[in-house]
Amino acid sequence: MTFKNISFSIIFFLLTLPTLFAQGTMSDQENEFYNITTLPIPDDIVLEVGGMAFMPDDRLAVATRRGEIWLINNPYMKGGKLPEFKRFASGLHEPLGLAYHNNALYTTQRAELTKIIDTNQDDLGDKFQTIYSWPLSGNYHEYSYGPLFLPNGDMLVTLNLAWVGYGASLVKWRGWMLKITEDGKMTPIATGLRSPAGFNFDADGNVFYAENQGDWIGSGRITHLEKGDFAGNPAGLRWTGEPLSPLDLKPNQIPDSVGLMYEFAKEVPSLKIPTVWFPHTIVGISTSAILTDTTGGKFGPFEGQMLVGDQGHSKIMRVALEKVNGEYQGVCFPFKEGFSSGILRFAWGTDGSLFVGMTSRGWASTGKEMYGLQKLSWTGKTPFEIKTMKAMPDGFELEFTEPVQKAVAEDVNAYQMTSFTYSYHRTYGSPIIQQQDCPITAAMVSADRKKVRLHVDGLRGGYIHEIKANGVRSAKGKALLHPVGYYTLNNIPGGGVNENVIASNNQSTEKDTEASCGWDASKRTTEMPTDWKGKADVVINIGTEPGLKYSVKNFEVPAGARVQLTFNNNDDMLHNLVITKPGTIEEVSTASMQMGLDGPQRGYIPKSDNIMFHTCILQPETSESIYFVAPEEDEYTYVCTFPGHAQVMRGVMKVIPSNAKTASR
Amino acid sequence: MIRKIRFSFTVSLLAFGLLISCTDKPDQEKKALSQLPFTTLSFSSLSSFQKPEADNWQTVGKVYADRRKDLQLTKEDGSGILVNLPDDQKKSNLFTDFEHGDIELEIDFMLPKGSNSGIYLQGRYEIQLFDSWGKEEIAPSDCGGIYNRWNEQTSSGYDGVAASINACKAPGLWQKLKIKFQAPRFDEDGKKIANARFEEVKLNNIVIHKNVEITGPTRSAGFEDESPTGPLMIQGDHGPIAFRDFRYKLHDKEKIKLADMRYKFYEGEFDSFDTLSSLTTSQEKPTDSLTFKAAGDFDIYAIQFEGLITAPRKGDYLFEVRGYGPIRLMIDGKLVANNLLSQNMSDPGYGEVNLSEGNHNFTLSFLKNEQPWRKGMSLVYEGPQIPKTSLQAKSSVPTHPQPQPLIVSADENVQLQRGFLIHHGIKRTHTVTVGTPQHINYALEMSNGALLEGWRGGYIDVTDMWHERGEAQLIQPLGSALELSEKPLLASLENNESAWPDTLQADNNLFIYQGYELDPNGIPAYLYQWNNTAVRDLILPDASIHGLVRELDFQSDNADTPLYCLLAEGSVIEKLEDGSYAIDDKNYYLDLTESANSEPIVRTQAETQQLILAISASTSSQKVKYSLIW
Repeated sequence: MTFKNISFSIIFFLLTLPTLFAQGTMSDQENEFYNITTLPIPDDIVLEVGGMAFMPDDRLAVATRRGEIWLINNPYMKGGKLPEFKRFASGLHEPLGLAYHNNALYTTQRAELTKIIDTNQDDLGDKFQTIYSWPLSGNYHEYSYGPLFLPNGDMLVTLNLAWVGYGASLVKWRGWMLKITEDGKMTPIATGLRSPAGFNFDADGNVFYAENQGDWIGSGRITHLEKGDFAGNPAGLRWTGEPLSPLDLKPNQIPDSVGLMYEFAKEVPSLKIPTVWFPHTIVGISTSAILTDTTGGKFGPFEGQMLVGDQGHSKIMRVALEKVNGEYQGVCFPFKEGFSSGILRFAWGTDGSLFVGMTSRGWASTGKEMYGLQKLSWTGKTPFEIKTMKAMPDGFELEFTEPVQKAVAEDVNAYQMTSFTYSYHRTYGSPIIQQQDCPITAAMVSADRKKVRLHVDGLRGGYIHEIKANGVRSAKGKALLHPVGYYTLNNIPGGGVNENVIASNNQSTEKDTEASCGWDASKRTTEMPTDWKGKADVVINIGTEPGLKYSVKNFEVPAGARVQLTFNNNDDMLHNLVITKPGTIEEVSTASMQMGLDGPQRGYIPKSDNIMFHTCILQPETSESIYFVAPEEDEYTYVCTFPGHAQVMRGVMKVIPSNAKTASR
Repeated sequence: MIRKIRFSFTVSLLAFGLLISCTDKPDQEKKALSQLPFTTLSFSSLSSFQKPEADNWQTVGKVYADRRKDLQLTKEDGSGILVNLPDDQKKSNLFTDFEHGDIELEIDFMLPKGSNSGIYLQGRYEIQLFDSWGKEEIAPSDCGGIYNRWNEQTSSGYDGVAASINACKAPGLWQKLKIKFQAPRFDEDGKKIANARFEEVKLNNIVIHKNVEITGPTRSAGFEDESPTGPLMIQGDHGPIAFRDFRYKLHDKEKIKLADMRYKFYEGEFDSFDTLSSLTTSQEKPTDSLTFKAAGDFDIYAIQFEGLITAPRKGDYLFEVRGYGPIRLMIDGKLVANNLLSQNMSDPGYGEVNLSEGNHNFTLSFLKNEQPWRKGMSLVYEGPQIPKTSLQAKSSVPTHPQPQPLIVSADENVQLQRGFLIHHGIKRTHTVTVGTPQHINYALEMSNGALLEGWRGGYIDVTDMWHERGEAQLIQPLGSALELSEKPLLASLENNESAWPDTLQADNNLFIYQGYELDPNGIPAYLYQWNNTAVRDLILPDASIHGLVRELDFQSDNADTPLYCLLAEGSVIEKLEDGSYAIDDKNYYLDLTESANSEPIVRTQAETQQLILAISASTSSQKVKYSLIW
């Protein structure tokens, strides 16, 4: 057996080198506190991680999308020894979860929940017991996840919707979370799920599930699920007439364009609003694994907080929850980026390190490997971070991991706050809407200098409140490692949303809520110029292929030609097409990753002179034509600047001499 | 301006609607004719053949070959089957009275154990018919092989091509052979300018040759020279054989010609063909080819080609239109074919029309009104003595690169893989496949216990599951699959005459599959529960019969309602002299060796026959064991 004996963080470093100049090596900065180790995987094993579970003997069991289960001995690489891989099972149908319970491994295949027992203890599973099976339509998007064991030994599984140009529940119980007992009794728990790849407990044993942006889902989020909940995507409501259904809400009770989910939930009690939103592209693009820090401090200062993985951005976010007016809500922060592939699964090692299982087949990620297994360990150094953010009747309380410099922290100019939300509608995703600034009126530092109490004007219930604390310094003079957080303010302590808050809307500056594209309209001409007299010299059509690819990777146009370029987004995620000046692709890519809230507002078009022409960000199954005159002879890279796509989704427009015959496509 | 693409939604929705309705009930509608009928060669007498020297050939009504007895083929009087029963003196070859050049032919054959025959195209190029059942290594002299040519000087064979896979079935079973053959070509001086070629040969529905050239007549050919035409020859001097269902199409060189073509171009989005006729367009141009590329750089448009079709001879012509957008063909002002407004090139529209020799006006209209990035349209036809031929330009049909195949091999160990499987045209979702080093493999529908298919040879291709998103999620068996019934293994019947249910009822399901246990070799035994009865289902490869043995154990806590087990289903089920059954008109054998102390029942249900077994209500263990041999 040969090993891919390559340190992954090094590869990532090299790949992202251009971005590092601008960002100051965020992954490297983070490495001082949390560092990534890559587990070498033998070349003949395709470890596309679908599920992970530690065994009592400290071996790590990994289920793969190709249907195998591997037992990995010494995943910690103790004594400088390589991990050893042993195949425990094979032939499963895309298992996307794994749990160890009472001497057996449990996994969810596409069609069933399966218990796998090694009856003769030879490290080969020999009894594959179907605990419970469900129908399938045959659609590839009907992924099934789990199980998660409840304390009483019952199990939870979640069932992805099919994709038929939109999310659909073609057979029972797609779009649901189900509870299943060891002896195969099934109870539907909750619906409204679209792509529920990750779900787990918080520190109190409540169940949260992670959802991805999609139709009806404005942005990524986690939601506290309880029996009878409807989490937002109406496809699964098709089955609420079934005898076992714990709710009776019907799909036709959800209009195509609802408006604000938070307001609608007041009329529809079973609608469960998200606990924490992860603003799309700003804090990840596809939430996946959830795991609460239960290491008792072995993983650092965030005991009891929740880690949420992101498949598309190959990174991890951190969540602090609190209960306000009887309901959970909280804040998410960036935590660690730079993983090698798309993060799908987490597991705690006994040494308090976090094992991260990854795959990016069919769903590309910023980490370029097709699959991988890495370990994130606390170095023992505590980063200067906002540890928690709590809602107060008239603002927030920030708690830091280290004491702050009082004078700086009491200056309101050290902070910025803005609030916004997303539309709740049939359409795929949502722009950021109703954004408005929230002036900070006072900041008071606690006696131990670890907390800052912010008084904020214009708090709005149901909105996401962005805090930027760039000005805060630790007592030792350090800046915050991640000075930004996003608090989902569903409830304001002391009696919910008060009228004063609503009224205060008028005092704040309401920003333009209509999403526009880019910064310079002349770079996006979507009507044919009249002086072209209805005829373009060259017409280029570009679609997409699965896995973040343009269908046309290069084309030629003569200099000065009138070009009509149509970009057809036939993928199931958002894309745009941006033509850049020669040699500036890395700068543009980097800039697109750093747009923050401007991203969704500006169609993810960074403000840059290096951008020549661009389309807007396009919904799945939409297209847009732009018109421009081909520039001088050279090679111009075009790229999708939707965050996370720019490293792979590229093509080249070659401008050839104007007298040459066009050989486009 | 962002343009919403409406159609892809409805199209994919429609596709799913179809998928679901397929699984719910079989399609009752008569399928549109997708090809012209074959000419059948009647085996009511030998009148279609040149009179053979000896009388070893005859037409009969029924044949039977005991699969264990060498060269034994017995007959019953009647007609429909051509049989050769040679002896040392009488062993003539048989020649058709027609000659052929290019030909497409299909024929069923049955070989007794150890027998040998062959079909010589043009009396010269042999596809070998031989009892190669179960052979691991095959040569040009095995069934389906293109037989060696013969060098008299060195007494050695050369240039033969073995079948790419041994798809040969057991002696005494009907087997299917399909051949597409292209005759050699000669110039005006009679000099050969192109070799004869087997374009495609399929044995038992799997391709065993693709585009194989033959340099000259193979060994024991009826003629030593080569020629544009020749009679078909069936070898009669090597052993007994039977044939039925001989169907063929003769092809000539002359094809439809297109002339005087021009097209009208309409910019914009059109949902109906009728709109076009009311419009005038200044953009009318002559063209020499049918291609969507005439639209140039436009995305959304309509284009209408007009011109003359010159039919080389009178007769029935079948046209096939496809397009990424609605496409319609009119000939002499009458609608011939349309694709029902489909947006997908995988949906063909067919239409048949009788044309006189000579010129006919045609209009081909194509509405490119959605999904501008998907481009393509085609027009294909088949005619009297004309094989399927494209009329559109090659560039009008898109090509897709194929990924490197992902293959799972069971050469070393037993392999099991779950996934989706197409069976009888329907996607099955709870399927498990098992491959063995004996190269005897099967697929089982776990949700109802139906043994769906068995195949010999390689195990599976999983590219459709493991490449990118694996949108089809399909397992493709790497061998000629024997497709069996997909009906549930078990049913409670009121009596022996009650209909067998097509599907299990999802919500009121007495049948629960409980998974499987692997033995030390990795062979699974499946576990089912039916009310109070536990069933253990073990399916094993048996190299001695090149087939599968299935053992079902029934264990009851107490007596259930009458439980029946479906062993087999097919058009005709016959009990043979040796006590085994020939299923589905001698498609495969079923040898029932243990029957749970119950008498097997052969019964007729609508157009099929079923072999069922009552599992008696008993608390003791009941065992059913049978072999599938094909």
